[in-house]
Amino acid sequence: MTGLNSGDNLAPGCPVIRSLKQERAFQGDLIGLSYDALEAGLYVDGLVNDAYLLPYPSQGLEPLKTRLVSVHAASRFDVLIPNLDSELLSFIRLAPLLSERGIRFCLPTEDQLMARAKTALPDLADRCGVRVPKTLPVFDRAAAARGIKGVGYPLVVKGVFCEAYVAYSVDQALGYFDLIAARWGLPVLLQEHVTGTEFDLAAVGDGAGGMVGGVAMLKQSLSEKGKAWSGVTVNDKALFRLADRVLDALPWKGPLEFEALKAKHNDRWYLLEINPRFPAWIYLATAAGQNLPFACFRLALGETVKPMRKYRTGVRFVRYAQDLICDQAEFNSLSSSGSITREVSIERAI
Amino acid sequence: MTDALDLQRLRGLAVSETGVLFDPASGNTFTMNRVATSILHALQRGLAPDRVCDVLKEEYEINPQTLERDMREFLDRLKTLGLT
Repeated sequence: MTGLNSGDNLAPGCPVIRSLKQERAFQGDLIGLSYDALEAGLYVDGLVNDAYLLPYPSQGLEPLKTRLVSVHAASRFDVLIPNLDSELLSFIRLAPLLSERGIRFCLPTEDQLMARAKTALPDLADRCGVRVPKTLPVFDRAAAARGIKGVGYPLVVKGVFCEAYVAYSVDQALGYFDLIAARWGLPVLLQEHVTGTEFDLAAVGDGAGGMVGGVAMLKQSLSEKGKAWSGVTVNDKALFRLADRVLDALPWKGPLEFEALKAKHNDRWYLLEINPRFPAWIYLATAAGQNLPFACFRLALGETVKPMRKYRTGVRFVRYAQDLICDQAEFNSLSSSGSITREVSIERAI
Repeated sequence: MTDALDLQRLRGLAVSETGVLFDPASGNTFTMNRVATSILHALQRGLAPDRVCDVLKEEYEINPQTLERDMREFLDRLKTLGLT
């Protein structure tokens, strides 16, 4: 399991683990894989048995492959669930080779990963017959200045991986362009700002154009970084029809999250983004009655998973942050040798 | 009294005994007073608005014209909020 960081930018790894542990049929051990020795999930008592540091994706496939082979030799894990956008391409490319060693994944193809990228989303939306806000990728400041006038105000300035800001003037928009370009590179996206209510839908695709399960959520409060800090499960059939249309055109295998908006001015749905992994709020889906991480785990093992159709609406979550006192010896072990090995009694979380 | 109500939509609304209404489609939550809660419960049981008025007249001491006006306003409010 990757994505074990916490705090105000919670990654999905810990909630995915929490979902797996809740399932009585899950009898496995859990291994934490991390890029940083200070990821909180590595130190939560009883969360993971062992933990290993990985090389950053930017170091290339070979170091990652070597490390995973080494970790697998030590811990013999069966399934790897990646939870971070930036690592997915690496795992998709390594999956065939790693599966020969017995490591299984539940992942889309590389083409599918690219097809839902923010720059490609308008084309995908065209194919599916769904709406997206007008979007213009720009590759330099001059193009941004020209593009801003075409998109109109207010507009959203977005990075391809992360961050989005609403701009009300050309100076503001160009300032955000510079910020995002410096942090995340090019292109930067200029997008029409559609006012409305945002909803998220976490789902698992079955790889054949269908949905194994899906749960929708309304965000009720946001962190400073714009992440959902509280929310409630909802069920709008139009949102699910939108997701079904996308999956029909893009037979995705594995977890994904649809970010969509119901526009205020015309009550119509706009697809904003498709995130290619579980969202950080995924435990809410489990609490509402659909354990999507466990479904994904079973799909990775090659099992047939009966589609889940129902879940409880009105289930709420509120996120909180708590200081964790870490074992210095474990931190030292992770920092020096890149691993922690421990005996853990797995208690079932309720 | 009003346009036809979407009974399926109404029945999908979750209403607590204390008058908290949750719309599972939008995630919006509303609070209702006792009379509004009684009206909505009756509508969800399938009673037509005119019949609901008859039932409420027996339950509450209320001027019939006031009741009918309040009923119309409540139904309009449900419609404005997209709840029917």
